[in-house]
Amino acid sequence: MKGSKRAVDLKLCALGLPAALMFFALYIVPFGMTGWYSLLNNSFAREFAGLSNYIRVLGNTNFRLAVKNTLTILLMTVGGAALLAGVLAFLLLRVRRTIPALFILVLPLFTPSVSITTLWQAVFHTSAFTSPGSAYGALVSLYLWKYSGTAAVLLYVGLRGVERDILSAAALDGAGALRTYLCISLPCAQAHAGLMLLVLLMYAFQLYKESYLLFGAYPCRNMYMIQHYISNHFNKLNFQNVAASAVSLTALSLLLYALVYPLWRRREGGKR
Amino acid sequence: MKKAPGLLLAFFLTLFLLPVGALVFLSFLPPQTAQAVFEQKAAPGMLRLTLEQFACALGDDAYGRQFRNSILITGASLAFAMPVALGAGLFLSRLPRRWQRPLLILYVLSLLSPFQIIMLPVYRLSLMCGLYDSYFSVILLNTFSPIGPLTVCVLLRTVDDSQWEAASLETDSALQILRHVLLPQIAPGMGALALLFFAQVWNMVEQPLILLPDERLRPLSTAFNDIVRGNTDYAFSGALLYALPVLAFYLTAAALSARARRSAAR
Repeated sequence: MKGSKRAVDLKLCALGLPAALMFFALYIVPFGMTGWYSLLNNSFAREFAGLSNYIRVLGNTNFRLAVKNTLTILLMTVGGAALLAGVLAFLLLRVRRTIPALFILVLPLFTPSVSITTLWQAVFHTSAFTSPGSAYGALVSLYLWKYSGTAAVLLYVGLRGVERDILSAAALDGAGALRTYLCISLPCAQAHAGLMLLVLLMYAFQLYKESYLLFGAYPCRNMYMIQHYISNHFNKLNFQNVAASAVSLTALSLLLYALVYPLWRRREGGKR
Repeated sequence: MKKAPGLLLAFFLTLFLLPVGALVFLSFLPPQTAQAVFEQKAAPGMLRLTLEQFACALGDDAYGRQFRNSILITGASLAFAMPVALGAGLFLSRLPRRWQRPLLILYVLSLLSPFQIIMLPVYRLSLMCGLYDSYFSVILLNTFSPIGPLTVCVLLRTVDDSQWEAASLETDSALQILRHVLLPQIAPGMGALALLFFAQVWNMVEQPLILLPDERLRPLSTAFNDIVRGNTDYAFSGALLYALPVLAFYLTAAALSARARRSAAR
């Protein structure tokens, strides 16, 4: 016997400890620093300001507009992509050769945004002065194209795991394909549906990238999101506003993730 | 009626392929014609295929410089991030459960959070460390990105516990266990991670905007719009050339995966 499992575990942990510490320094410490900066009235003089930065940011009309727009865009993009993914997963279940289809559906995820926005810019004539209808059309269609395929594949993987006996029993009872899908397959694949929504939300929060490429740093009123507010105040060196709005964005994202998380968690609970 | 789902799926798949196909087609049109197509001024006689746009793109120094920046940043990030992901993933997967869960939550939260949340402290840290306005600031941030360790941890959880125990009876060298027992089992997953990571860094926009104020240092993903705003002669071929490396990586991975499936089925 050369060594115990525990000793080897310790060595393996020691091997990866520096990498984990660097992750903390670059991602978790800044997370805390953002919260700390949001409570100071000047991050250089370090004077404690309590909640005054939050009161100022939450009272700002531009910030309120940004929150409203962010929620509208999140609803349109995540809702639309989830719906489209549901349709695509249903169709995938009903065809035989799915592998080429899966590869095509994931392809947009790997196409660089800057490459594809060139085409979208030409089709929708996007700029800072684009009409609201065109702007929504451009951003939502780009999101649907880029991410709904991947969402469909995630959902499809879950739907494939539904036991065939249950589906056969439903068919024997006279349930049609659509009814079986909506009333049996989807509820059984709830965990994967939850994961799909989490991933879609994550990409929706990162939509600033596509918005920046389509409309620039100062988009039209309807496309102005919290991320634009943060970036624009950063460029103006208005760091207290940046910190307070970043914490507000964190709170908003955590709230939305918390709404979706129980769906995904249900399977984990079931497993134990 | 039985063929309806197949036909409908084929329709959707065509929609998914259409933008890439359009980009390829537009790249081979003469520069003025490609723009005229969208202004509905292109006469059918103007639609001849040519490599003019590619010649324009490859002849532009600014385009070449920013493309090289992309290669440098993505290549270096990938080279550093994969070993880091392996190490941190091992660390996460072998921790006792009471430590593992909170750490995993932190990794997941940082993966889900938009960059703007940590933008200000990262900017100030890079200033403090003297890395501001250098490639290293972006490479460092990407190297320790949470996606790698999380993926490796998930992959290592699929390795059976009995294999860990058997391996630790044979040797006490952690590196040997890693090389001979773990890596062969998670190699396909590591390939997928490399592809995901490559696409993520190649596609990066926000980080260079904040950390690289010198526009000559920025990757093409950030600088492309500014370059083609002044010169629309190669907007489509430039966009296509930029998509090629990551699409080639993806198609190669897809072909390898299909081949592995076929040989497993035999």
